[in-house]
Amino acid sequence: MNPKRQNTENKSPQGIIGEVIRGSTSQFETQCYELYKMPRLGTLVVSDDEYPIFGVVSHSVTESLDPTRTPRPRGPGAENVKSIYQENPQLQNLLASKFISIIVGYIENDAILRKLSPVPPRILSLTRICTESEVSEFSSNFDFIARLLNSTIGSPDDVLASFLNIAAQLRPNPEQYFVDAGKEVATLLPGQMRRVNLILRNSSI
Amino acid sequence: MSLDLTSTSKQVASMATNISARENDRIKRIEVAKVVARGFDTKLYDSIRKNLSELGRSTIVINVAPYKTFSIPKLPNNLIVAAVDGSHIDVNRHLAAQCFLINIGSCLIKYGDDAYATLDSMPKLYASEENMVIKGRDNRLQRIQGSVLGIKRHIEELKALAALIRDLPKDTPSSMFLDGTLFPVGMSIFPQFVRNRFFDEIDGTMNAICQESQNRQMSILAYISYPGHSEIIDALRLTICDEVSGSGICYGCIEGTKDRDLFLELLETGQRSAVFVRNANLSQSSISSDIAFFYLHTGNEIARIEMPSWTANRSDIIDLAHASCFYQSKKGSGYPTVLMEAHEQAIITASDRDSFVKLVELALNSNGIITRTSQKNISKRVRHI
Repeated sequence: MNPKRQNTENKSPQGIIGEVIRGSTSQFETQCYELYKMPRLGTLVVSDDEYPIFGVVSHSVTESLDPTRTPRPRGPGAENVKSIYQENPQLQNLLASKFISIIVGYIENDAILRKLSPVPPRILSLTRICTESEVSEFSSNFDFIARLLNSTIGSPDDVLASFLNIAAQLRPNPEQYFVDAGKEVATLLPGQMRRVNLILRNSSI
Repeated sequence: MSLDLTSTSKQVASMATNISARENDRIKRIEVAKVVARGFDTKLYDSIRKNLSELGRSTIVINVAPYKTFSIPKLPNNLIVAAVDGSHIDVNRHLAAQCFLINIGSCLIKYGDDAYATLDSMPKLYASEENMVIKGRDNRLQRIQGSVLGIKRHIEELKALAALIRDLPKDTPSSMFLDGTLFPVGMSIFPQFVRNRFFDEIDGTMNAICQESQNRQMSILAYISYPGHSEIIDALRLTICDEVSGSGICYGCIEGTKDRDLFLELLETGQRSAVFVRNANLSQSSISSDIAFFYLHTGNEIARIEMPSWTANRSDIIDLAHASCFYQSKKGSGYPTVLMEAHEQAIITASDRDSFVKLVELALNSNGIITRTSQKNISKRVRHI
């Protein structure tokens, strides 16, 4: 299986991976149920509330749940990181994996709108990874590209490149998808051909 | 105005000079204690104990000489360690509602196959009259606050430990940790009816723990970091000091030395001392207040491990406690991980305490009660110039 493809093989039947712990109209943060089980950069997720809100994973972090307690090294002497977790099972309870998603759209009256959500997702809304058909449908229109490029979270160009890569893999002709997306990116970044080329190069890797 | 550190530092410097002047004397006493421990005669000590017992004086049972050391045993691959710890918010007379809160934190870690951990905290509010007062048969009353609440919290920790044990699988060896002493200290200042009530509760809980642990390979232990006890030193003094034995005056033997100073000299990292027993009552043994204890060199310090007296002759249980304490301390960089995590679950921060006060006031207000507080409390909150 191509690891870069949208991961839809989750343990949860609905692909639910966590809950929203912070939300605004431009982004939302999800805390994962399982440590290190965060989606890859550029993955399309949805905050499955009454009004589903789409987001693209732009930044993820694993850190101590209690900001006043920082992890300390367990070595020297440890064989590998797996053995450290095996010998310190409480780490699973003390650390948390979180990720921030840039809001790129929402569903209203059964239609996907590729723009900022009028309201933030509710705290503790369930976050799930979108299915391949949802990603295909969402990425069939390039209105989301401007949202990603204008974001101030993480590295927007890399996030866009990762998302385009995932979306292209789902199409019968990925090369054509890159060409079409490249035209949109070039339009949005006039006079920045080096930046456009870098995005396209990264997305097709 | 904050603390005048300039003035304080002069006094601190003077204190440090005094301690430094006494340090050589302290080191000499430890050396003497070491020599006395190495020449300890258990038969001589037994005869002294017997004499003192006839005079009504209780002393530590020492069946194996204090200089004997025991190397670290093997720890089972599959092991459960669990701990409980507590903290509380005391009654605040400046508040509109008279109440107190006990928060019991717990941590359970399963090592080996299918390793996992569970962390939990259980806050309980005590606000009704019957929950906040201990009544004697002659209608005497003791409000549960201050040091009385400290003992109440200790008992709640014991009960939480008993509940934790009940849910454990019986086929996995386990070590159950408490922080501090096994039997609470400082009860002697309370009226007899309060002591009786607490003693009954501890007795009932320890009996339940004893019953539950009979069919298991389980060590129940209380871990004391940097202990200030001097029970073994006192026992050694009985064999060398004329003043203690009543035949003369002390010429400066080993008085003032702590057990931890002695065992830091006698033990190497991972080793423990022999197991000693303290009987609280000469006339009868008690499941709740009699304890067995040993000292352990964790690598960072000497820790005192207290266990129920019924485990004193169970070498397998002593070994389990020994190994569990050492490896837990090692994992926790000097202090048992499981206790540290239970403490983190129990802790009530200054911010939590403020939130608790606001919660109480909000709840009272929403029930139409005007929350009055003292002017002193208001002045502390506002802090105007």
